[in-house]
Amino acid sequence: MITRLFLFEVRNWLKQPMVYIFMALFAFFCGAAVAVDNFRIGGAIGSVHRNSPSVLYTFYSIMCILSLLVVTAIVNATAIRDFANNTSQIVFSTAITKRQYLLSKFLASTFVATIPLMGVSLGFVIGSATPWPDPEQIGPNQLLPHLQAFLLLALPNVVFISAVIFAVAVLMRTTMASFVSAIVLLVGYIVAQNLSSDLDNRTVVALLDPFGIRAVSLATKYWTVQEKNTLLLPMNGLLVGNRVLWLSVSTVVFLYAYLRFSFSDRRQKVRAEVAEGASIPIFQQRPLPKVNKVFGTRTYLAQFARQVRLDLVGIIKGTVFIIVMLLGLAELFTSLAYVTELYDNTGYPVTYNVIETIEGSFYIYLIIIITFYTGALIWKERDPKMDEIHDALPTPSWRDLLAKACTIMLLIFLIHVLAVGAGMLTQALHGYTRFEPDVYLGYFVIPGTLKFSFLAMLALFIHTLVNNKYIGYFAFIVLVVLNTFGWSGLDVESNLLIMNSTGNMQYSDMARFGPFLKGWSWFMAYWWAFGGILLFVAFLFWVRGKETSARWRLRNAMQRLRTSWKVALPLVGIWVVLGGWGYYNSKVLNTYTTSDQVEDAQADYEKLYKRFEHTVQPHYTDLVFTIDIDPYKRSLKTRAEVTLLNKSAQAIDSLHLNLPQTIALQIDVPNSALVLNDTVRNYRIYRLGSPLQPGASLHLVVSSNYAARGFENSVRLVQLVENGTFFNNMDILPSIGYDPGSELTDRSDRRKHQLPQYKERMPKLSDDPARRMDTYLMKNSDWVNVRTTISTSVDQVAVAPGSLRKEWTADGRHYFEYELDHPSMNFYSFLSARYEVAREKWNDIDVEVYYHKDHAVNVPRMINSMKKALTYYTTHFGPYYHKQVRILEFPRYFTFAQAFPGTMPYSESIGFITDLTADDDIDMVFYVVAHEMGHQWWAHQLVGANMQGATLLSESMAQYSALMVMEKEYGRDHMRKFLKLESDKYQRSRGTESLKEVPLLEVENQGYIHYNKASVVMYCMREFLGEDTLDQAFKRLIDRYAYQQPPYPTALDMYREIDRVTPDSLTYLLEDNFKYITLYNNRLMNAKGRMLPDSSYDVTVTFTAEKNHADTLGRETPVAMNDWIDVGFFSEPPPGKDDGELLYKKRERVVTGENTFTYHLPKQPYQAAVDPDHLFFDRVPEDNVKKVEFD
Amino acid sequence: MELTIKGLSKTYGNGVKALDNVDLHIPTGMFGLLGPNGAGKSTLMRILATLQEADAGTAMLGDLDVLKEKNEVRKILGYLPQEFGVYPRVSAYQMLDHIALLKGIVNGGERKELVNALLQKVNLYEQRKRRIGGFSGGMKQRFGIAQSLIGDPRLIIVDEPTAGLDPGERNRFYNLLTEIGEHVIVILSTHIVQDVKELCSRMAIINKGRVLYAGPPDDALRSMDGRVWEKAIPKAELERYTTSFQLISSKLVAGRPIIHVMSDQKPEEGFVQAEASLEDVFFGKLYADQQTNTVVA
Repeated sequence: MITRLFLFEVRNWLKQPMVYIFMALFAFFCGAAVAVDNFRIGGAIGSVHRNSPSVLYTFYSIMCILSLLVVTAIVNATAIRDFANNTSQIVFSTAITKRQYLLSKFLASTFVATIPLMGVSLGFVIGSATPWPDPEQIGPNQLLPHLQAFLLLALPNVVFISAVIFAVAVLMRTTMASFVSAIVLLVGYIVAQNLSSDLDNRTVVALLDPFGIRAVSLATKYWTVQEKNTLLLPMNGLLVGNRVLWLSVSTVVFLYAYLRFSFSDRRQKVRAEVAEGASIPIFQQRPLPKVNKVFGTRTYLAQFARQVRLDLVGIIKGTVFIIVMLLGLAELFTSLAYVTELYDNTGYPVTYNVIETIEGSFYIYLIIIITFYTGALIWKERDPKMDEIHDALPTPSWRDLLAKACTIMLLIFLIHVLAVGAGMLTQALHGYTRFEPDVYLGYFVIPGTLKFSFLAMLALFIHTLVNNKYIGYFAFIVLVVLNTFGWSGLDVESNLLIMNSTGNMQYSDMARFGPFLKGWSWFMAYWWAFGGILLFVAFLFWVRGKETSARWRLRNAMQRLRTSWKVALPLVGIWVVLGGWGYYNSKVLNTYTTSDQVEDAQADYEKLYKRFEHTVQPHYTDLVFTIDIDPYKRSLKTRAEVTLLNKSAQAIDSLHLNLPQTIALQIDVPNSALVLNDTVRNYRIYRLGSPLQPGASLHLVVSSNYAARGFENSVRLVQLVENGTFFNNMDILPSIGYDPGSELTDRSDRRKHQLPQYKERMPKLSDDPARRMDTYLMKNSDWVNVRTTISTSVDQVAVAPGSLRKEWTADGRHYFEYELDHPSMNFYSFLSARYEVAREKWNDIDVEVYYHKDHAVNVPRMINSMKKALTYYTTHFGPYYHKQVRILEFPRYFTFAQAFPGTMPYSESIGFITDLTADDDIDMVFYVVAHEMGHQWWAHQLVGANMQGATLLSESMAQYSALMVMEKEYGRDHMRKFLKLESDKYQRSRGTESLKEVPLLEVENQGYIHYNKASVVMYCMREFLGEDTLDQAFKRLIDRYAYQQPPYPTALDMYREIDRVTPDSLTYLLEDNFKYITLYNNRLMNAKGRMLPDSSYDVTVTFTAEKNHADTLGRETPVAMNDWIDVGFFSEPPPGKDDGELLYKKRERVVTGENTFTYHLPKQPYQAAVDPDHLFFDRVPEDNVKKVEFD
Repeated sequence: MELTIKGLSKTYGNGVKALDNVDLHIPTGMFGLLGPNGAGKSTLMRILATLQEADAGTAMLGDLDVLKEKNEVRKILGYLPQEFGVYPRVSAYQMLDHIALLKGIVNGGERKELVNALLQKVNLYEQRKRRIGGFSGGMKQRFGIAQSLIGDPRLIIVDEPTAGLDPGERNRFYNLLTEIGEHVIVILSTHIVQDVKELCSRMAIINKGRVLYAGPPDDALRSMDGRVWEKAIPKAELERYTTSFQLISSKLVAGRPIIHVMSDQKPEEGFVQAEASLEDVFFGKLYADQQTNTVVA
């Protein structure tokens, strides 16, 4: 019987298109993600095969969550069909039993609900067979991963969702309840994921994830490229345990529903009808009171206000609205709980971050509200069949339409106000009281309301024209999706075409609304005018009465047009004028290049000029700048007198220059002819009148005169703003010689443009002097002298590299003259803002922070860090050659800190808003400043040749330097925490490598290697060699290579210096750390303790050890061990803390396989640990620590 | 004021002729529109209520062109559709007040007085704060009547107003309509002959979009005088009578069919002359109409 019922249900479903449509959708998305570059599901995959098992697992994980609504639709429909169709009484009066009924329905709907998910595998296989993806990125399609993903992920997840929805559906018996539970499940899941993301016990979190996604990601978090391409999911206790757990939960849920279910029809309960007042004689004969009817504008206004109030109150009191808002607020508050997260630190909940968090998590609910309620409002009279009464009332149609538009706009406004309340509450709860209502208003409420109101106008227009509620919803969503994602395929970026597009806009504490507001406002006005036209057309086609055929609607529209064209005319006029104005400003006064144009230019640049790559060129030696900044007019005048020197042994007959993108340069090359001027690729070739002889100099004058005109499609030169101007020398100078750094790097882009497929990321590491003639920072430029006269508005301070020689005001402008104290890299910045300046002295060096007035809180830390760094670095590495060291704050359009000679610009959105009042955190402000200070030696004194390993000399050394300063300031325990974090980051990033992982010595500007891996490696070397020994090597490096002219030093030079101070017994360590990719797989098996009569302890520790070398893709080969590894013991963590104190540590000789050591300890240990300081990379760091067991 | 309809025609997209050259003259007072389901009554009423468009013809209410000056018509119109609902979660008072405002009664005090009077008139005053969604069919219909009376309408159109009312309510409703119908035009559509007989001074019978009869009910009755014959027959013979006589109606009395046949002479032994009822008029006209159609076809 069950089989028959099951088959009946299944057959029923298979006849319906829904199952296939959803399957096709899943197949389409997954297929597209495999086949097409720009379409992505899940994160970046680097060089992992696009159809690798790990990608498949990701797709299945994400699609399982997306399938929530699909499963709900299928299960709900099956479960409540008999109730919805009122056939329940017929069915229940048959001989069918409850068991047969429920089981067959549950099994059938669950089975059917898994079918759409098969689309994932289908699309996956089809996508990998299409011709579009790079063949190198496609691996073999294997059956097993698909089976595993389906059986381990898809099936149990569908069973779980199905059980929950089925239970709700058969017990509540309304579709609404089912979908609400689906949304609650979804949002609850997201919220729980957010809340548990910083829980320490990852195993518990992984077990408790009902969809098993956390278990999968925990099991695969350190997978390398090779492993991602080949491995099946490990069938370990965690994943299997998770699946078993949640299948059990599903069973319990189903059983609960089974027990509570009863065949009696709950909907039979009689709806209480209002009692009739029959005793009073009905229809009194008294005449009705006389009334005055007034028609006209005032009446319409009163009617309008009433309608808006009625509709708005109706929406706000409605269940749907309350549910959606509650869900939205639930998610909003969980997101806001993380608003203070700032890299590895806590940040102050500054208003712009709160606003952007709200936009990120809450706007989706606003879009849901707009979508739903525009349809609901348009159909408000017709859905309950009130339209015949309403439409025969003497009130104009435009009043109806405008009232509805106004209602939805007010709703949007109110939701924004609500979100502001949530934001301010969050700020208050964090004890932050700078509420900035003006920023909330100007950066959130007003722009948000305007933007979403346009969407509402669009939706009203669509609903009116389509005149079918559901097709209307569908059409609106399709249009919005197309408008959001479709234009880039056509390479359209104009704000005049992309609906509701208004260019970039970013609020900054320093620059406020910056240069964005003007263009934003004009484009918004343009789209509002368009919205007005849409509403007018909606009015023309407004459905009033019962004539809905196209013929009559068109006829009515024509008639309405005849009487109302006078309203439309100015509307269209305004729109056309605004469009013309927008075009004039964005395309005539200014220009912009689309991303396709940029890509084409890059490709052509390589094709046309690659042949000049090795053409010998002169080098920059001296620069004298005159710069005039008018920050309030956003204009910039520059003039640079430049000296180029032929450092080669041959005469140079032509000069090759690359011009910057945004600022147009006038270049005066004396006695020369401009033989090539490529204005698309910004490449110029000057033939010199007489060849430049070896040792001879050439003097150029490079000038520019930039002035912001009108407004742009999106503001390009965000470096030039009212308060916080910040630009580099290369924004106003040409670079010399063909620059391989401008070539396309993405493999499929290269293939598309028929460029050679294989491109080395960096030249090979080598000692060959001929290949060491340029630094990795810039071609044809060595140590230069710079002198600058810079002026700005009278209320601002302008800063250029070097010591301030003179400062004066003239003609209402503020002038400064700076000069470098020592030749430096040709890599520096110019800034101007209304700065506050904190000045201190360290010996005879000026230590300064130039900061925005509201951002003083961390300035003392920065100064402290600079001083401590100066102390350490001058003692351990060598002298500092500048007379000042400056930190300069700049607006958050860029979010980095960067070291230039003697100056370190630091973004307002990081160190200046970091909240370091909690003493447990790693002080990233202190650390970042120390790192940038490190660059004053490592990059600005010793700089690597342009080849592999260059960033080992700068980034890794700056990292090491900062670690040392930080350790002095905060102690060793802090370092353990820091290294654990760095180790985790390194291992997680390996699997997303886009080309190949290389050993540290050959690092190719890969952040996860030269920062994260290097921190651990350098600290490890310090631990084994000792700080003084290691720093001796580094001091020698600085001694030998500081301000070295070409040929430049390389990582090999550094390696040799460390090697010199490394005893032979540790050569293996040096090689493991620098020449190999080395990973351990140690595991603490047990730690058994015993208390001795004198209250001391004996502890025996047993662990297994394993060391591997990995290749560029992460394939590992075992290496025999005879290594030194620490064994340590921790005390019990004090309450509220994560870690205990390290009681004891001993370095042991460890061999591959099992190792056992016994220790005598004076105090009771809580945990034993292999490598307690995280000096080595362990594939499973969690199993290196274990509680000590006592008999 | 009079409503004059001339040559009004309406054909739907699917080819159905809802109105076919309808001419009607409707003076002040109650006017009954009689016809079977699908005859075109609702179409006619919706056109008059400005909710549908006519393909051809005119409808003049005094000097007012009903088909063109829709908003002017709406200002003096009271309309009760056959089927209607209201906003969910809105009380009877709120809804009437809202409609009153939309009908141009801007003065809040006047509106309040009017709405209360209306609520009392249709005996919903006690329930004025209840949601209309919870009303019984009769109460909802009373609400519908109340809203159609707002704003002193000169033309009242009520489409099948007694559907869903119990006999008592129907009576009271008629009283109310006649009271109002003394001074304005009230067009009442129904397929219940009884309604028209009791209420209307003038009537029209329409079928398949055409007017079969228009005039006072008395005239119609008079035209049938002496032509209606009645006989009780066995059930088995119904078929024979249907084919051989102008059978206008048959109804069961105590389980036996009693048939009415239209004929100028006594059609057969056993028939007795019956007093013509409006029902006979109605069915007789329909029968005649069908016969002509068949012949033409």
